[in-house]
Amino acid sequence: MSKTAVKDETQRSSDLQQSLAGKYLTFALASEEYGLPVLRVREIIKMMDITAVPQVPHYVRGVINLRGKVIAVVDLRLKFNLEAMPAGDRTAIIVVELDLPAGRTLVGVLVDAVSEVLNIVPDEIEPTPTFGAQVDTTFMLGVAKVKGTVKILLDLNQVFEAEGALPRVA
Amino acid sequence: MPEGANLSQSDIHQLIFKPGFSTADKVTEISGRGVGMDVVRRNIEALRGRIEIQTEVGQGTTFSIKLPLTLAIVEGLLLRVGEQRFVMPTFSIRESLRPAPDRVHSVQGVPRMIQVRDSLLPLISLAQVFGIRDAIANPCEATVVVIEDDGRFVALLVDQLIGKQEVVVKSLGPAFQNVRGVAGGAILGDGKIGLILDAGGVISLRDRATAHAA
Repeated sequence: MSKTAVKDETQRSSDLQQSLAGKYLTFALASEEYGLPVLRVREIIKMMDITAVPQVPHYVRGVINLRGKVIAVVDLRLKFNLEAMPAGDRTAIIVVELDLPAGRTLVGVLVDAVSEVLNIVPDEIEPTPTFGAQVDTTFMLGVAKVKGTVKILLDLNQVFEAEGALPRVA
Repeated sequence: MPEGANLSQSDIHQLIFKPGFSTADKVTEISGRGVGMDVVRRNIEALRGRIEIQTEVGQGTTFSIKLPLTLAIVEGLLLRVGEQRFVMPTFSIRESLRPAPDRVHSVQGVPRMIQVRDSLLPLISLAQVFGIRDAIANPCEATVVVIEDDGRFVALLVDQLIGKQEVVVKSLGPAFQNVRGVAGGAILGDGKIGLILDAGGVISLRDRATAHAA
């Protein structure tokens, strides 16, 4: 790479680090750890009964009653093609705010356990590595190395936008 | 309020809704700032309602909140299938019955048709449509609800008719806009959600199901 190209790359990289830095809510899915921008998180609730709705993709578990509002719940394990697991005592639903074409929507995300809110500084952020054509990484904002662990920073809108995750049944 | 102003009883009562108005000596964590009643009134007015106060010293106070029925409300029959409950709008229901064994006709071992008087109606098992496992399979031990949409009559197999109820229709959100057979959700008395069925959609689901089976 030429000198200017290398400089551009470093500039882009540090711009990315600056823009991604901030507070993230971290949670666990199987052995993987993820982070969600904390400003998108509305609330965290314990696992509750989910009313199943027909004709939806397998990762849409159904709907729940959140103080009078009916919101959809998505099982992130299933969405990421991980093995389904029965709910444990740390299973939680993170209620997030999405900016969808239909407008601002609240969606519940089912995760194995909620960890903590971390303030991630630019130095800890790495751009998403390329794993080759096999792995779709559009939903990853980047990767953070914190306290020796790696957290995958999620772009929620992408998780739900890609292949119309919120179902459009014909 | 100028001194000596002449106020009617109800004007005086309405004073408590003024922001900042408080009769508390001390301000605590949750009261005393003159905010609460103002919030109450604003919220009621946002719903185009009214709040009235009737009070008598030493006797007690009645707050009357009047709200218009602008929310979408549907009257339906509550149906139980296994552990789940559904709401079928009353206007789609024609009758309900428990068929005698000689009125149930099977195709390849599965009950598929119910004879009601002179008509032979296709039987749709809600348990099968919604993937509910612990439902009653034998129509003669369950309940059959005949629904109609646009001239088409269909028999629905459910466990039990629980009762009639008026429910507030809650939209399921953009995620479920195109789910056929379900018009929305209702929050039932115990806080659980009962899916509100749409007769036309349920009937067309049967058509799709048979197409897949074929």
